[in-house]
Order: sequence, then structure tokens, then C-alpha cells
Amino acid sequence: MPLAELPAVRINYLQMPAEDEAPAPEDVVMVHGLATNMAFWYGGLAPVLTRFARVTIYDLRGHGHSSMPPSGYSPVEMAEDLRLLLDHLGIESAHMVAHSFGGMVAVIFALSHPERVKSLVLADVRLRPVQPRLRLRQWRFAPRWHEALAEAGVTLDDDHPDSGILLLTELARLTVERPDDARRLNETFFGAEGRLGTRTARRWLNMLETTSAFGEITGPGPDFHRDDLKRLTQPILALVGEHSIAKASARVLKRECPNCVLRVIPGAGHFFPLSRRQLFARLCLRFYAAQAGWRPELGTRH
Amino acid sequence: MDLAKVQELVFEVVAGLVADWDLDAEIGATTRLVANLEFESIDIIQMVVAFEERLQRRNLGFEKLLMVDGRYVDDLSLGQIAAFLHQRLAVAA
Repeated sequence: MPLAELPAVRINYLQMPAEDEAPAPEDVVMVHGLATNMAFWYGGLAPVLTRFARVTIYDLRGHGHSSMPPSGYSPVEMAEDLRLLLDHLGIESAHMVAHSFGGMVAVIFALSHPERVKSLVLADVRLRPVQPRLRLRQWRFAPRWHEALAEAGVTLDDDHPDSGILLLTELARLTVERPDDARRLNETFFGAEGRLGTRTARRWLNMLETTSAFGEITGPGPDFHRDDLKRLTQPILALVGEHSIAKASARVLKRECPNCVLRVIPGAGHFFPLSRRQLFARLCLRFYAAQAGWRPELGTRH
Repeated sequence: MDLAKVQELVFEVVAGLVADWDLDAEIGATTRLVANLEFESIDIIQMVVAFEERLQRRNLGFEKLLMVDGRYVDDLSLGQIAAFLHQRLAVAA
């Protein structure tokens, strides 16, 4: 797969051409969350969007087949990776789709380079300036999770302000050390499609152990202020799972951003882009259809 | 391209991908991507891109093989992949 040699990192990416091969297609760039990679999009929304756009998916630094430098993992630095990647690919502006931590990267990029972002789809994004602490203890499903974790012999500090990342790390460790237990737990928490692969889990652990990623990802910030969100004037589709812990961020996006539409995915948790692929694709297509010049149902651009 | 040649291509591409993975599995028609070769979803992307490069073809339509009812299939044998590729190439010819 192609690699972009950027000054401080090598980024693995893939471009999927638009089906109609228009000379100047719209561009969609998709940003995945933590402990996953570009495959998060490949089997779901990415091929759907090629009906009317060239789609670029890539691995964040330290993830997938991108390189793992010793530092540079804050969302601000990853937004700079995104800028450099777009420069490398000659993409002047694009529609951004992002999930989870990828949403922080996309929002920071949009605040820094508003002229380069035509629209934003933000799927289950926790905005740190809005939700600086995310304690799983406060979540209504916490007791059920605790029970399942205890059965697997996993202790989790669910009062930690980043206990979601701690949970991900414990699941990764379990995936490497006791794959059968991990499979059962992953399916309980995320559904069959949210589970970690062994090498992906190993890479996540390796990144946390050998780089400054944890401190930088969970760093004090603030990466931006809540008021800055008012400057995001692009069309925004904020999607959030009904059972997600990121709902507060989605509500603030709706309140602060002048052109934001909020949709709650009924019965869904954090990983609805995987578990509710078809609904997710349908909502995104409707969002794009509502924007001037986009007629995705017809597979054409006007 | 006949089925035997497509199979040969599939085996060669997959063998190249897993060359440094320290696996004992043999490469053959019944070899399964996940169960035998420990493939993860990103490896599947790499495999599809490798086929596209070798065949000088884009949009081979792999999603039709990889996705059923909007979900990834659990596993695939190299024989299934070869048969699918053979069919796609025949349709395009």
C-alpha cells in the first residue's frame, strides 16, 4: 500500500477512486479512532462513498502500517499529520468523516484550516474540552461491565479520567495473553465486529509502552476551547450512539456549531459505524444529499 | 486467465504478505485467511490492493466476497478467493 513519507512520520494510506471517475471528484477523508486502523472504514462507509467521491483512508501515526515515532501523538500533532498528508496527496479541501479520537483530530484540523474542510461527519466523538474527564464509573452500563471484567480477572480503574483508554488497553492485553477470554469480553462490550485483532492489540500495547502516546493522547490540553466550536461553520453531522458516553459532546456540537445536525443512533453504543453499518451509511448519504450539488442517491454530481 | 493461474497468483500474493509472520501454515486452496494465517482486516486490504496491482485492475468488487448482509464474513479460503477472482476476470474479459 502507498506510504506518504512526511517529515516526522511515514503514513500508510489508500485512495479509493470515485466510481464515475470525474476529472475533479469531491474528496472524502476518513479518520479512525484509537487502537484500530484504516480497515475500520474499508468494509463499511468508504466503498459506499466512492459512488460520488474519491475516498482517502489512512492509518494514524503508531497505528496500522504507519510508522511509530517516539512522540507526536497529541491530537494537535495528528491534525498536523493530516495536513501534511493532504498536501502530499494534493487535496486542497475535503469532506471529513471521523470516529471517536479521530474526531478530535478532524475538529482541530477544521479549526486550524477551515478552508480545507467542506463538511464534517463526527461519529461518537468525545471532545476533550467539553468532556475532559470520561469516567466509565458514571456510565449506566458500568456494573455490567465490571462483572464481566471481574470474571475475566481484569481490574480496571473506572474512576480514571481516561478509563475508556484504560479499558481498551486491558482488552488489548487480554487479546494477546488470553484470546478466548478477550473474544468473549469484546463481544459483550463492542459486539462481534468491534473486537481487536491480535496484531492490532500488540501494536497498541507496543505504542503505549515504547512511546509517549498515552501522555500525549490524554494530555492536559486544552486543544481548543468550547467557544471555538462556534467557528465551525461547515455542515456538520454529529452522530452518537444512544448508549454512548460521548453524548454530552454531541449535544455541545449541536448547540455551538451553527450548521450542525445531531442524530442519535437508537440502541447503539460507541462502535455503531461497524455494528450499524447500513444505517450509518444511510445517514451520511442523506447528509451529503442535503448539501448543495450532491446527489448521491443518483450516483451523480450536479 | 484460467483458474489454475489465478490460484497460483493468489498463493503467491498471500505467501508474500505472510512471509515474515513466522507462521507454520501451508499455502493452498484450503488454507483459511483468519484460522490459518491470522489475517486481520487491514491485511485483507493489503491483499486486495496487491491483487489490484498485480492484475492492473481496480475495483475488483471484493466487497461482494468479503461482506454478506453488511457484515464481514468470518473467514475465507484461498480457494474461494481464487474462484471469485477467476469469475470476476471472466466477466470483465
